[in-house]
Amino acid sequence: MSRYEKLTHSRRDRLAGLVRTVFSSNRSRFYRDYYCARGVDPDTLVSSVDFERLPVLTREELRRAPLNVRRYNETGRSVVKVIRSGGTPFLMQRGLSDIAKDSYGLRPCERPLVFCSDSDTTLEISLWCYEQNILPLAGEPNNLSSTAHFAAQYGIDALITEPRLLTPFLSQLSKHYSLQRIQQTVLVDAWPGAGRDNEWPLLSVPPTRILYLPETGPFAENCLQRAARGTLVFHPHRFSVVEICDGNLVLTKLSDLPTPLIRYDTELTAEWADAVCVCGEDSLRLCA
Amino acid sequence: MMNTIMMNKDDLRPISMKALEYLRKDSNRKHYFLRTSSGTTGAAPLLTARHRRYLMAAIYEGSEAMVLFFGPMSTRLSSIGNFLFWEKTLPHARMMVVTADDLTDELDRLVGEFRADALAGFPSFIIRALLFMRDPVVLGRIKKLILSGEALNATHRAVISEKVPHARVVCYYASGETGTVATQLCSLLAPNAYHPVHNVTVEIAEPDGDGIGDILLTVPFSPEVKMERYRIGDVGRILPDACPCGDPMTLEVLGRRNFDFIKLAGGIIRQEIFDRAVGLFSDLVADYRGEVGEHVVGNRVIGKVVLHVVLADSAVPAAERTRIQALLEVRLSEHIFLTPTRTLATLVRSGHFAPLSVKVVEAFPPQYKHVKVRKVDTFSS
Repeated sequence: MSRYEKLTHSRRDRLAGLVRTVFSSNRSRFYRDYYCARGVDPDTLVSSVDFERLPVLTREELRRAPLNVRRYNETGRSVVKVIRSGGTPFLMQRGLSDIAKDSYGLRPCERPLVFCSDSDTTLEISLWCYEQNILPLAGEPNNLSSTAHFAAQYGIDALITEPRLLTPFLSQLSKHYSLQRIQQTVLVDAWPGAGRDNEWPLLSVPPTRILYLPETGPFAENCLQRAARGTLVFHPHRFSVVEICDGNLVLTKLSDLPTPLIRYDTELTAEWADAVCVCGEDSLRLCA
Repeated sequence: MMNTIMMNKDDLRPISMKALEYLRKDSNRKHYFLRTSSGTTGAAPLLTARHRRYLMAAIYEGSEAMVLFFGPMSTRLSSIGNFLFWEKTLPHARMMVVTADDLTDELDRLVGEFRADALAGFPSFIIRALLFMRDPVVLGRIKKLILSGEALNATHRAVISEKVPHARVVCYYASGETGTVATQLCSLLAPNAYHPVHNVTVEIAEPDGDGIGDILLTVPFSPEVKMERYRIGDVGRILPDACPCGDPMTLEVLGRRNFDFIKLAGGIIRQEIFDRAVGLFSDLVADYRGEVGEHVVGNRVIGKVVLHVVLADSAVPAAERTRIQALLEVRLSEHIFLTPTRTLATLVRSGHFAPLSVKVVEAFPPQYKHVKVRKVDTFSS
């Protein structure tokens, strides 16, 4: 049984509804043209969505199509992110209402520090904090000593950053702030090889790991139960449908995005973990 | 009688977070933001919490697609919140942040796809961006430039006039620790004149005969906490007559006092760097004065430094003066650090600055009496 077939009926219905919506949209022809150019029969698609046979969307296709061509709807006030990694930059749009639905595995906190090497990532996560009624401090990844100074002044109780920034930052912060006051740490990243690091000597509590790409936002979270046993596997988020096609992680976001992502090839190599996770969720691991 | 108590940056520290106490009355975190100030003035960096007053609302009004050109993350985030959280912002308003890495030939395409109708940020950053933008359709959509952080100079005005002559230019006067304190919404104001915003009190400390003195600001951090008579570090005066628009208060900002840095070509230049470099040649140079400025070359803003020096030995013959001048132009360049890691010589090689010019003089012009390094629109001959 494929992963798609394992989805609940409601999720399969939502996927089908998403595909029909973008296919029949008067506002954008991006997916319609993409599918038709690759041999998908439009009449067949409208009547019966064969999701797993839909062409996988590549990063290059996103890059090639201007934002207004890929925009299917207006979702209120939004931010447009410049996706700078991996070549020619391109734009992705996210509404505040959509950002609010993201998940970062963060338990209730009052004073988080957010800083990532990509400024749009920092801003997006900071806006997510605001949508959860949390007041974030946005830090500077190129100035860890100042960021540590401000973090101490604010009295942070949570930290959202990237693995490569964590240890050098905590080394700075520990000079004038007790790391015990940081109740939780969330690490976002999804670079190839991500998730292999699993030792954080400066932290008293292991961090939560979130799989994140600038063009997708967060889409999976590590299993804390398995992490306690030293195993790093990830569960897809509620609004994310993950497939693994030819070893690549393919992602569909179910939320109402201005620029929908359907069967997007993240170019991350991954595999499903052998057994059902102890918590009952499907779990995947990233590969080298 | 004027209250003589004045606050400086160190006096802000005990109250910098007190705005958060207002959460017991207004628990909506979107109404608050945190701002960091960089410490370029010599004081330690400061983090302040503030309750939004949406003072930029009148400036942002009518804009739907705004591109931000600020460097500090806290400035970016607070600006995004001021725009997107304000109830009267257009329902489908959107914002995009440009970084220095985006200043390439791709910028036209990105700003065009975004369909920007307003650019907001530091003048030098926006000017550098405009120099990369050539598409008349993209430039034609830009209806507003919202500028703060440095005074517009002749180079800035020339680029704006060429690239976006139809855009309304709105400047506002703000700092990291005070937020917005005055704006130029009124079209009748001179370039360095502003009307204070609601709830901000402006005073001039110890004005001289021309009414010029240190600018003092009383600004609320929240409805319950305010900085009182804060010395922002700028010098100015309050114009005696009401503005023709009817506003009774106009503040004229004349520059920094006692601070030794200049923002130039996107960077920051410190007088102490020149002091140290020239000090290495104290056997040759008795004193110096510096002029720094910028001009446009192609699609870049290039910095320029001119040093006027008085020689230690005023009796040297002309040929020797010429030799010393040439020597100083080369050697000083190698010791003037314009960034923590790059010298003027490095920046000349990379094309960010013109070669250093040294002029041997007998005496300095009167206007240089008290100011060792100054930013100029036009270099003196």
